[in-house]
Amino acid sequence: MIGFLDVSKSYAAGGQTRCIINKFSQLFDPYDRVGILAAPGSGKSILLGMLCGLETPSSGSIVRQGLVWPIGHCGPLHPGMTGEANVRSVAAFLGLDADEIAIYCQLFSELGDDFHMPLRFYSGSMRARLGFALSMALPVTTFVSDEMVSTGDAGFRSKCDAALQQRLTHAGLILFTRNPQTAQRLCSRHGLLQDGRIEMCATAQGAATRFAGQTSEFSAIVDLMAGLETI
Amino acid sequence: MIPVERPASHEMLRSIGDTMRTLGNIVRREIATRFTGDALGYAWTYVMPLSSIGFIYLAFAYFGRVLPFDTDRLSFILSGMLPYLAFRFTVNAVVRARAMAQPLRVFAGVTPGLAYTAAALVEFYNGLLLFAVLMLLNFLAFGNLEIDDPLLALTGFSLAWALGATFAYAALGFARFAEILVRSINVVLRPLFFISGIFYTANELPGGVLDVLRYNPLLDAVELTRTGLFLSYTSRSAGIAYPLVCVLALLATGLVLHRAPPRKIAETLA
Repeated sequence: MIGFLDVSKSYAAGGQTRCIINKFSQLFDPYDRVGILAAPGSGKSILLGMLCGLETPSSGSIVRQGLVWPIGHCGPLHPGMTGEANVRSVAAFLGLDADEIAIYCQLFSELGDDFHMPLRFYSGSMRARLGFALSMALPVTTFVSDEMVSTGDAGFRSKCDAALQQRLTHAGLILFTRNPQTAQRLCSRHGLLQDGRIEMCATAQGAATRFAGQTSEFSAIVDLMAGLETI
Repeated sequence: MIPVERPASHEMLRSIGDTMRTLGNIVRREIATRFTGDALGYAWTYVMPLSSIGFIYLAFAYFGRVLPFDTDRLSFILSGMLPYLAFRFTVNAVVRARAMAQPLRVFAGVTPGLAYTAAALVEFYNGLLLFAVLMLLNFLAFGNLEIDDPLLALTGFSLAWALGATFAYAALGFARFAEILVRSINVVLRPLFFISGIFYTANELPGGVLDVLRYNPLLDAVELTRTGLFLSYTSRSAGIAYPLVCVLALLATGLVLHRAPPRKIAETLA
């Protein structure tokens, strides 16, 4: 299983404590493909960070089974190391065949000889391609994603889509997104993140409708605040 | 099919093996990434302490510092600076490891404690290598080589290193509820440069002053190293027990603080 068991998460910001979730429990099968619609600022990055071990809950437990990896994650890639040294290092941490991972990443990312250059010389797009290639190269049990499901130009995007669809035949996905179409295309279960809780819906359409209501309220508040500022 | 139940000892050995492999990976990454943005790269690890030692050597020469016992100037400075630098650089390395470990936590086996251990081990290796290289250079350039009791010198050096590692570990534990503590480490530790017997020996200090400075365990570590190196010097403040107790106390403090939930710590202190 993968998910949250009685998890609370709060952090101090600007002298105040902000509670992201409070005593929240939700478990998924690691091979589920779950799309969770979430508005900006709803805490999806922190939930995602907790699911893949990058964030620690204030209390409660995170349940993880197998390798949980954020799609396109570049976090463990060090700017001082070459692309090749970085992916070899990741392979070593996971006990995988470094040669196999390195060859796959070099070919998939289309970096050519730049693969042997330190990452600090990479453009944002090159880093993103390497990060995506790495996530496709690893034997991931459950992918997690904060919006990102592909990267690069149109050609590379369709390659990313194809690779992800192929990987999802034997891996799960927990996707936090504000795009109902993306969730519907990639996921079989649907929910939305509201008031620090994930609420599951019977259909993708149901989740999209509830999310539209939530975001229209949000837009109305933003409009109201903008109006107040002009006064 | 009947599942084969593995004995607990087998599982434990596998777990230890996994931990050691992860530790090795973090150590390799720490070595590969240190100072990678600079042309001198890893050599900075040795250039910085060498420049500090060179500066103190010049200061001794300029002020005409008379050495308190029969030895050469460079050997005397090395006996104070090497354990002090082992302490100070280990503190820096362990504190830096906190940020380094954050993105690696996506790997199941990587914990902050393991990252701190890796950083401290790399620093111990660097310190020992620096120690050996400088002693050799002193011998080759000036014909001076004094190592009276290698085991005692190594004990003093190791205690200084262990004090640095455990001090940083405890400080990072406190930082879980008050980040300012980590930022103020440099300010807190600066006086140690002057009160740890780097430029002078404990035997030179008046009794009253020594009674106060004895509370600094790093003084014991420096004096142990010095006593181990020089045949003509035996410190009156070079005990193993006190710094060792401090190391264990700092380690225990760090373990408690890192295991307690942050909210509970804040409530306890409030």
